[in-house]
Amino acid sequence: MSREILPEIVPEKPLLAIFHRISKDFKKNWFVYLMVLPVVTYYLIFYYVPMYGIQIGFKDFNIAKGYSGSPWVGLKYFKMFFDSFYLWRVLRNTVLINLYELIFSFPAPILFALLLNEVKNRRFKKYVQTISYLPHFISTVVICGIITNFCVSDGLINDIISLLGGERNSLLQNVKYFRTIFIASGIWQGLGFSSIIYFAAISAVDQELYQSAIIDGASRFRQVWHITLPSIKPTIIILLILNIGGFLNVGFQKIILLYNPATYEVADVISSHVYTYGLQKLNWSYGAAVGLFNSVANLILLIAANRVSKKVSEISLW
Amino acid sequence: MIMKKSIQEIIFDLSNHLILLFWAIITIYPLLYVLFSSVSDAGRLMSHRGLLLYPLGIKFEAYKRVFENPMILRGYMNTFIVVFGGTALNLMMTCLAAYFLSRKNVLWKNTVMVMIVITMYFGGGLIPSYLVVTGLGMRNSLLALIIPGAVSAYNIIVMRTSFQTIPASLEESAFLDGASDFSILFRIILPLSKSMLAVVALWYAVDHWNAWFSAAIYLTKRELYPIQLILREILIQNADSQEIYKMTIGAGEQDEAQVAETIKYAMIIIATVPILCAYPYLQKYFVKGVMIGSLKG
Amino acid sequence: MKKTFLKAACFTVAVFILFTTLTACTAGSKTISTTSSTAASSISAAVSTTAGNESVYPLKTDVKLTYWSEMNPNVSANYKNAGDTPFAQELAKRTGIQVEYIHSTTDEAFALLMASNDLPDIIEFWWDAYPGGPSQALKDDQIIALNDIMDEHAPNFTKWLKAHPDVARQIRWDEGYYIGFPCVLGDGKEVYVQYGPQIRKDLLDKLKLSVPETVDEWYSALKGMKDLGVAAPITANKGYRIDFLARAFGIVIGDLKVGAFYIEDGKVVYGPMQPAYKDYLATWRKWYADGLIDKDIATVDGNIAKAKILDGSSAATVGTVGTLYTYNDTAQKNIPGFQMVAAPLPVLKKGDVNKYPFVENQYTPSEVQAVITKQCKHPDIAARLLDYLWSEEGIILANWGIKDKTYTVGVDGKFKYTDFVKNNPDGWTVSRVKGGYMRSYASGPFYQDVTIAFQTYMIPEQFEARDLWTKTVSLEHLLPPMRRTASEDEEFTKIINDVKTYSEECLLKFMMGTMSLDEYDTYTAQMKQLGIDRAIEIMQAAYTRYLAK
Repeated sequence: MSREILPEIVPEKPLLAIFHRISKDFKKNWFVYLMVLPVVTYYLIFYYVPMYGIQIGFKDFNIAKGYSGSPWVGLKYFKMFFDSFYLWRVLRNTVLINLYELIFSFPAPILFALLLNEVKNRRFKKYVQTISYLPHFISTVVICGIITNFCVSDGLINDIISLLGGERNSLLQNVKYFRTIFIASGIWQGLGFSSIIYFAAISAVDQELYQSAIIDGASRFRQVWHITLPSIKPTIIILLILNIGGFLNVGFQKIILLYNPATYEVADVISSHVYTYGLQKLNWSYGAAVGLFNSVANLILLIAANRVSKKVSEISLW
Repeated sequence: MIMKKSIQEIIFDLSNHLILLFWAIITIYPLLYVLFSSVSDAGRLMSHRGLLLYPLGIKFEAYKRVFENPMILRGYMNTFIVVFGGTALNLMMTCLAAYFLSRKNVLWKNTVMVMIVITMYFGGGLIPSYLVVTGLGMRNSLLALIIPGAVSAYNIIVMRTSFQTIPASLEESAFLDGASDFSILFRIILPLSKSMLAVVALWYAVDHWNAWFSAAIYLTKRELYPIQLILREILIQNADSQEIYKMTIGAGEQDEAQVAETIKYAMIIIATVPILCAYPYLQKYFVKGVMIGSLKG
Repeated sequence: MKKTFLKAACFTVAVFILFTTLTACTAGSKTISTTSSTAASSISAAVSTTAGNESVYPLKTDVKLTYWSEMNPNVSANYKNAGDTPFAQELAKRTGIQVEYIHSTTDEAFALLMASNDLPDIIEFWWDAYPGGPSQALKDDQIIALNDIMDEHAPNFTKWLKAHPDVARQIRWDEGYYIGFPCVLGDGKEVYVQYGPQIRKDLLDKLKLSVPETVDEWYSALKGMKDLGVAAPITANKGYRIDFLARAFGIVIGDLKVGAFYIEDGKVVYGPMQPAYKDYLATWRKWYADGLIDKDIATVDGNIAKAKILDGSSAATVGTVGTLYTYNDTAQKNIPGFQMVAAPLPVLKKGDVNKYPFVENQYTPSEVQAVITKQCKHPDIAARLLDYLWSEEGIILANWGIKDKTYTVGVDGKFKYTDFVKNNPDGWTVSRVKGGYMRSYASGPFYQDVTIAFQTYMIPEQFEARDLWTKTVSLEHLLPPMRRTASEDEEFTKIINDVKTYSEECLLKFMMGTMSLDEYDTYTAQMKQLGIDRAIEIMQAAYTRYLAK
């Protein structure tokens, strides 16, 4: 009697199946894992080991007693933040400024890169590009000094306004104009530097695609629309996701330099609000608590943006 | 083939050039303002409001004050070491991580990505990080400025995106020819990502160049100070003392407050010019046509 | 052959030298450790036998103390370490105590230092930065209180405290201890008032007006200047300190936080809640409506404000004695005849004296202090070192420097800085010379002599300003430096932050007319809702505790 030589197909236990998958993956990809090992180690040592410090927002930090010795106060500092009379105003301002930046400051560098890309004259292109990123290196303090100078009642912008027949106005004292000034000056300072990455992305597009498009008779606009843009789409989308993941962040320095009691209504953001508590220089528990809240909210937004993007465009972080 | 330009195109080109020219003009103003202010007479600068279109009486007092500090040269040297060494390390680490994250069919890829992204949002804070760095013996060493910042999550993500746009067919054919991961990375992917590499290198270099805080807390030996830290000191040295030291009966500092402004501007010029010079070298990587003729078959 | 022999010889010599220096070093340190204990005991013996005798310097000791402080830019401009300065060397010579200075350059460095548990002997810093303040640091056993060692080892400081009971009370903590050597501004009214209103005298002359003294006179003066073409008669850096007008009404606005609290009839009050605030707002509103106040007052930064004064767009401001010189000196070229002089704080009725001047306390708890840490093995010697700056010679060294090099004493007994300070041959600025030879370039754990400020006055307007602003200084309404408890402080911080934001906004709105004075009651109601009464209560409690000290 001959027995069946084929082995029986027994369904594997689920745990075993997972283990098999992992070991198969390791056998195939061990080298790639080795390649990324230094980076992972780096993150473990420099980010995850110190991560215990995150509890400082829940403690009354005592330097001598350290993290473990300091008393646990739970949500005390979070409550302090949420109890503030101006909480909603501050949250609203933060989100709104980021929203306007998303609408205006995010696309501007892309548009700039596309426009500049259309210029054939190499030298013109080079000079404009170099000049455009210069303001990025000028410190915020100086830039805000220039802005303030321009916006006073007898400053440059008002000179132009009155030339055009309008009335002079102390621009930075007007709630209507603060956000415009804040965002426009941000574009002015940051456009060039932010556009560099789009330039890089554009330059990586395969030239042959353009050549075949030209043969097919496509206009320059169509070339941009059908070749350039789709090619840099991944870059744009990833940067967009990361941008949304920073929606509760507005740097306090520029706000503090430009705002004043007349514009607190629209200008006070989370970071400037916390800053003006003027805490003893090193009272970290409060700042840490607010920071933690910020991070959690931002992360939630990031995850949401990532998910949406995955569904809609198949481009995502994970 | 010579293309005949339509009227539309001509108008577009003309307005494009005009817009860009206008943009260049208004954007160069801050730098010119800083440059002119740095060589202006302090008193005249103080009385001046509005647009500054030319220096007000050429005086090099501000630059003199900055350069008389004996540590300037040392500061530059230290910064150069950190910029070059640091950026080299950064690029290496970033490419390794980006390569990993751009592979397909790697089981732990997303886990690592999540792990990296989380560090963009949560951190331990100053004291724990400080303890780790000093625990590793990096206190008073330039390594403290290089290793703790060895890689940036944001830059890894950007680099990964670039790696992902390289056609899979290229890698597959190389793989079939028996190429290892390393040679795929170095012979195929990196050469095709030159422009993105240039951008990321620029980002890292600029960050290293501008850094001063790590130096301030990890270095007590002044000979190791990077240029930004030294410049920061000079600026505070010359700022309006009354604001900083409330109780100083400092009427004698009045002449210094005047020069302080011009010194601030001179500092910006001194700190910024070197990094500005670096950019043109990287610009050539943004020229079109990096991937010529590679996509055959 | 010869070459190798030479090489070998050199090598041997080098090794020999190295060996001897190394052993010498170790031998030296051995002697230090064995003699330190005997040195300490011999000093305490010496002190106890010569009780109260300050001429115990220079001490005969080999102890080396470690001294941690922030590196001041005025010092770092010319010296790598504070120990290299002539001041430090002179101090070491006179006290006989060797000091190793360790520096930091950021505020965070202090926290890192405290967290490291490896503390130097003396730490000089703004101890308010320690979470919970210096008294917490004491509770945490990080530092020591001076009480036990003061009498024996810090006799100069103790003597000074006895001679100044009021200031001593300010320095002393509620619980009765002294922590650290404080920074104290000297006696003499002049130190209190360093800034005040300033106005263009040449324009006043043109208008045939004298320097305004009352609120009404100010109004006429500014109005007159406006008619002369001055677009924004009065301006200031983001409205900074322009509350000088409020003080005419008996209202102190200050920073709208702790600075807005003061004493009225023995009770603590908050400026913007006082009844007279409404009257002030009405006047302020009128000034603005009539164009006397800079339209951009809320956004104008320091540079723009200065430029406005210097190009004639503005004619009055509030500033320091130093800026008086800056204005007068710089504007001469643009505006011939320009003369900026000091004006007194205005009053409501002619002949009155303004009882709410821009004063500071002699001692502010948030200033630097030099504190001896628990880890210091020789607290007595550390105390001696810090105490020296409170002796007569020490005060002179800290404020004036080295005799005949940086100061001279005239026949009338008056001290004067030498040309080495005022017109340094190497081109060093005054602060840098001070940085090398004294400690009076910045605040520090010593007693600041008032009169050093006058040394650098350049023009008569400055001396007149000083005399004018200090003529009738009264401290009766000034809030002394009180301390709140930790829990009080938390409550207080929460309330006062929102109160400040709200008050600032309303102040501006009332001024510009966006909010009419009919709505004043809504303002006060909202303030109460924000908890201002509780804040006043807390301050009152601290004040009562202070008086009971």
